[in-house]
Amino acid sequence: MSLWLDRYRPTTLAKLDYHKDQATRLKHLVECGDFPHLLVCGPSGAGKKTRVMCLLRELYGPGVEKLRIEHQTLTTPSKKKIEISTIASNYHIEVNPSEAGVQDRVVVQELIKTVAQSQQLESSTQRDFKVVVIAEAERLSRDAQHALRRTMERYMVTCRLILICTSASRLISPIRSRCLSLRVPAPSDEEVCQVLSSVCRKEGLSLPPELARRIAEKCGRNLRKALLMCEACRVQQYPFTADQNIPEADWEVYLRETASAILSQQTPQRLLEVRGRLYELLGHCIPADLILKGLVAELIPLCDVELQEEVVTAAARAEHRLGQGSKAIVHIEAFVARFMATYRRFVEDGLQGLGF
Amino acid sequence: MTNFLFVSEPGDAFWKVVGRIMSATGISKAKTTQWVRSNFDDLFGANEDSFSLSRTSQPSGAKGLGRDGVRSKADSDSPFASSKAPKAKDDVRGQTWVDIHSPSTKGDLAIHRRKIEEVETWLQAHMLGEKQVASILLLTGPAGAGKTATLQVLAREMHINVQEWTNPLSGNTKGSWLDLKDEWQPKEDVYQPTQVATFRGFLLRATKYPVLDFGKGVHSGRRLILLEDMPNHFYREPSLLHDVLRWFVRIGRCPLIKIISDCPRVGSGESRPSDRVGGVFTLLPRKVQEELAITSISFNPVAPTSLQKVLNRIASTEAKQSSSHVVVPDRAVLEDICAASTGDIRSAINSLQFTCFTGSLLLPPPPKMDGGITSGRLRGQLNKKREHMGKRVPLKRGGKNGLHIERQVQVTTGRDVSLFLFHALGKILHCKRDVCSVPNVQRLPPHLSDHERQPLLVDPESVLQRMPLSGELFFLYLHQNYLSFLEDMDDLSAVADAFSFADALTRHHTSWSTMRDYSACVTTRAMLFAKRGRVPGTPGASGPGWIPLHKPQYLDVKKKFVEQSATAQDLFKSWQLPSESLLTELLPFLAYLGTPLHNPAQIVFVQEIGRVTPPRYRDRQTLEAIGEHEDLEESFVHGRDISEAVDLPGDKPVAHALPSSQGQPGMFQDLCKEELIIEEFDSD
Repeated sequence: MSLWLDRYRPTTLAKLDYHKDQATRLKHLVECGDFPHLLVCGPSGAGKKTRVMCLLRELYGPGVEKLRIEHQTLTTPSKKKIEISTIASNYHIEVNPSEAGVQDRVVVQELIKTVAQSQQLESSTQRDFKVVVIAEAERLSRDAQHALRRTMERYMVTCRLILICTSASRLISPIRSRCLSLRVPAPSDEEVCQVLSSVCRKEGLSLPPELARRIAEKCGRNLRKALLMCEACRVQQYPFTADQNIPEADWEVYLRETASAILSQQTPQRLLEVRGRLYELLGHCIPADLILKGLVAELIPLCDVELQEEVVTAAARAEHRLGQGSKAIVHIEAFVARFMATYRRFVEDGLQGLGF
Repeated sequence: MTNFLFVSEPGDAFWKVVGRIMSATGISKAKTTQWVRSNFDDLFGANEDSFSLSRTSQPSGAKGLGRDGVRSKADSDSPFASSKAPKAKDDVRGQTWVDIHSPSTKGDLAIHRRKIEEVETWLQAHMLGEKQVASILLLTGPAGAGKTATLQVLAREMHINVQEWTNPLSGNTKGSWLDLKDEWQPKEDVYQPTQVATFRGFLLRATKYPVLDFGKGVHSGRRLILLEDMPNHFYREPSLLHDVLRWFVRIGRCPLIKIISDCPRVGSGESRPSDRVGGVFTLLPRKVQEELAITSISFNPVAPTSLQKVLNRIASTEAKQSSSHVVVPDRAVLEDICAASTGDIRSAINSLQFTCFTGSLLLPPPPKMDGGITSGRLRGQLNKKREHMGKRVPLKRGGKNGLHIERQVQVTTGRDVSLFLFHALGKILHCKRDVCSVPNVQRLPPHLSDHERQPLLVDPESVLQRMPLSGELFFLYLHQNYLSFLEDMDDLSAVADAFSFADALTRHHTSWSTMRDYSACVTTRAMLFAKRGRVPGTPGASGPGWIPLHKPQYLDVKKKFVEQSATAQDLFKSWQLPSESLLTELLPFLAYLGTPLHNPAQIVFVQEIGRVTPPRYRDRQTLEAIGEHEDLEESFVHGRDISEAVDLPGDKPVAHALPSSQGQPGMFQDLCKEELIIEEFDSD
């Protein structure tokens, strides 16, 4: 029993549901034999990883699907041990260097070196290079990125890198220029609908097109989310009805409640409550920038046009400082306080204007 | 002779002045060496005696104890122990008043009657019984609160032999070792007992054998072990101390009294481990206290009134005896000394002595030329110094500027006053302003009148300096509490913005250690600025009243965040998702679905993380409040957390905390049930 998400994940390039044009190109690329480093970027839930796995299968055959989780221990020059887990097949290894935090440089260097130094056993039947997949490449530190750039050149013969990231802008340009950049756009709403209905068909369920459309709207073009929502709908109620409630992640609901709490009253006491709620969200490992984004998205439509600009400015500053500082709560709270003050002043001015 | 601690700014001509004063007052080189000798008498004595393990300080005479060469000292170094009457005039200059005027009777003690009674009752209960048992009493309190003095006086009155442990000064040097076993040629591999072992030996002998009676004084056979000093190793590993105490409770036959001074952490919050040791709460945590049935009596700082009484008495006695040197300072100076010493009687008496002598000793004969410095300039410096030394203080008294005076006295005589966290927070958050005085500064132009404030009564930087926490921790405490103290949303927004800015200041790890103090400063000032002074006479002028203070939630949340992310990565590795989408997309939905999970640990985790429950309501009450004399131990732990949270090593500690993956069917079913209930709850 596994999630629909995993069960109906396409395994070959031919089976991919959308961006078929790109898939064919990838296929040609593999057939050509040579294969540059790849930089796959695209928003979350667009199918980057799926596409990469399809590519690898095309490259090496079904052997890449035999995955094993390995724990590796690396030693930094300062004799500190880093434990990192990798997912590997005989032909490729996937690693998320951000697990190592600030020590990711060591991971990038050491791991790739070990992989690249061992040759493939049967180079006659197989490709003579291995593939290292680096997930969340945008979270690599500057140091690690420079180390990576050197490593890329050095081990080009035995090893290809596939970097997966959501936004290429956080990678230094030497890396970007050394890779073939592939963008995987998020699926359009129609494509999401299409995938959903095909999955439901395979599952033997009938999905009303109306519901599919609503899910597609709600998921924000994130296919992973769409499939999870759909499955949650299935658990909640079957047969589907077109107007049934689509479950959302709990924290999103919670965030919305928080936003309405902010709007309904602007006092220090309320801010204290809001802080409690923010702490709760942070405690549930919701990243601070998502919280901020969610709050702004909820608040903006509800305030007056005159206010919007000011609110967005405050939010932008808060986000900037989020990146600079270390204590997320302080910045989100500063934004909320700012919003409250602005909103309150606006409402009071409005009341005075009305002649009260 | 008392030890001097000179605090001087680099670059000022202080040392020259001191040298000047010394030569001017006829303190020659010979005199100086005499000081030194008297100061280190102790040390040399100890060397001659081999290492002195214990000593008895008794009212009359001394008794040796065991083979370890017990040395006795008529006047113990504890300031109030000896009961010598003031000596002849010539002697006076060689001794500090603290020693001369140490209390000899209960009446002399400047400590609250009830505290004394408390200790006395304990002593009576545990000393006067037929059979003596090993019970432990713990005396705590700030330095100079009279803990040791009380005990010594009571012991003398009750005829109890006090046996005190002193750390062997040079246990490992060959000389002292040779003294003990003179025929034996030392080799490199000579067996040296560890300090802890010697300490155990001392305890054993002290409790087992009565003090030898050499015919001097009354011998009652009642014994008491006093521990003020301790082998240093115990500070590093308090558990060793606990073991020794447990052992002592089992075998001991006389009470033991442990004295620990509360000392706030030194330094500006570098969390070196050595800074954290030594408090009551590391040495004898409450658990151990309960286990060993330790009675604990905590002393308060000496009350200003009784402190002043003592100072008056000493000053007048001294004036009578050595009229030539001593000038009795007036009342105001005494008050200032009391205030500056913050209840530390030892420091107060030392200051008093210092202040009194200035009258005669520091009257300089015209100084000789020294190198290139003109005498006029030198005299100027000297005068300036004298201003600082308390002469000017009474003149300024009565002005409104209380802050200024306080600081001046502190410069001369007082010890550094450290603030409890609670008070430091209170000073900032309540923000006292000088509402009465009319500001003589130029008023701000009308369009800026919004920014006008009454002058502050606190100096934020000095509060930060005197506080035992690092700026960063103080930042967190302030952040946790500032909301309750502000009413206006605009002010509040400004402060929140300052917090945000201050946090951004500390972004670079290279400059972090410097910048965190600045960031604390920024927030403190913003907070103070936002607290507009209240206009007297308006409603609410009495202030907001009592507002409880809380400990920051931030650290817990941060720790939880790090742990949870690590756990999530660990448990759901097979999904190969980046942690962000794992936690925000997959897990919340898994909480709905639940089906594909077979690992109870995963299920527990998903239930916990996928659901965001409304915060436990009214969690202001459930937050940990800060007490007035909050021990800082707690905060040290937090302090450590900050640094650990930054580089928490992976997922190891968390994974162990979770139940293993197999074989808990009961729990599993329970969880499924719970899940169903939650689903029903959510479907509507």
